[in-house]
Amino acid sequence: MFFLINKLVMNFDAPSPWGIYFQDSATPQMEGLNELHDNIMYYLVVILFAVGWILLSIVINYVSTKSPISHKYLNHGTLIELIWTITPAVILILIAFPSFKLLYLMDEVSDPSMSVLAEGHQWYWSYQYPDFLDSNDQFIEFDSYIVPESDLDEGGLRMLEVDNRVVLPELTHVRFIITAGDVIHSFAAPALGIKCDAYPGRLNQVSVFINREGVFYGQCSEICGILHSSMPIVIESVSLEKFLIWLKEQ
Amino acid sequence: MSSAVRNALVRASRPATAALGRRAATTHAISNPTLANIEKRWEAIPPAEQAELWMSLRDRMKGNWAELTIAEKKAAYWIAFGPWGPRTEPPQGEGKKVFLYTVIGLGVSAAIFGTMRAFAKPAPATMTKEWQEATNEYLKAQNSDPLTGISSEGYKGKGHIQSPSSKA
Repeated sequence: MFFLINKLVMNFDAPSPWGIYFQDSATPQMEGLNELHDNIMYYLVVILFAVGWILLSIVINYVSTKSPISHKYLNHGTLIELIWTITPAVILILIAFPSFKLLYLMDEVSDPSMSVLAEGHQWYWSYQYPDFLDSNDQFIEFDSYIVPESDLDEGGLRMLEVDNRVVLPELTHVRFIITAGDVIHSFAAPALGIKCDAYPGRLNQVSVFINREGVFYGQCSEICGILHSSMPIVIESVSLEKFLIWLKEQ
Repeated sequence: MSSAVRNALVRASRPATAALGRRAATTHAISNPTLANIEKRWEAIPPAEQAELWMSLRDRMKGNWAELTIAEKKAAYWIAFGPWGPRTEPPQGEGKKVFLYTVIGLGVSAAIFGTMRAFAKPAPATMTKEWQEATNEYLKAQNSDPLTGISSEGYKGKGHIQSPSSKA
């Protein structure tokens, strides 16, 4: 069945070797995170060069061979200290405002159309769709294990493929309810901009609105034991029609 | 002008602290032999004597600097700013020594790293050019990272190819 969906859905989003930037975003949250990151990086580079230039010119101009005794008794300069204390504080506040705005926007779970329960185990994820029943009138639920290297098809992504993917409709508000069965895990998918700790005995929730079809890879993001690296997450976003077909097959 | 009046005027023009009187010992210049070759002897002098000498120099400097002897000026400058204590010149060849030890440290690290690598398992089967080309085809066919990545328009990167061919 997943082979069929692979053939039908023509999108994948995966990490790339030596990648130093985010994966392409697939949700408004990730768009927001990208934009915040890019904005901060712009000013960060400006500040880096300004501070670097100041440091370098001090090192060059006040090297001991050039001015061995200058300002031997200079202990403090109130004005310069005020400048270099208040300026970073202002910069931090300027970063904090858009950052908190985005944080609380992302926190909001806005009237979800469906929920998916993700439960972390040592070392696999199990999923439940509590809004849908299968042919036996049970909630749709399944475990999702890594596909080991020996079972990969040629070209498959090592340590990232799973046997059962989470299938979701695109352009739909979906709520993930996240918990764990044994130790703390963390449910993360970079392209969707979600990362949420999974605690035993506690339900956390995140909202996603995937705005294109695709396959999005993630990994457990809280050290959870020896096979922490072997419990990847694969979320497959499909059109509503294909999602209904998938539901019918369960 | 009588000498009495002149003395009175000179006295009046001195700062008040001077009029209160300084310690007798400091009104006289410190003898040249005490200060001679101070830069050679300084670090061998016991700290108590160093402090005493410095205090008397400091007291001398509270007065008119023009009255200091050449030996006093030289000694005061050298004690205040000279290359002793934290300002000592580093020993000869110290930079080379630091460089040498750093290189030795790096060499040992590289040796340990190399030894560990020699005993490690071979790279996974996916780390071959053939597999990675297949990965590229797999991802391209599935339109992965369509905005900026491998499936985007005009993409010129290597995609997932990073390893040598297994046939080589």
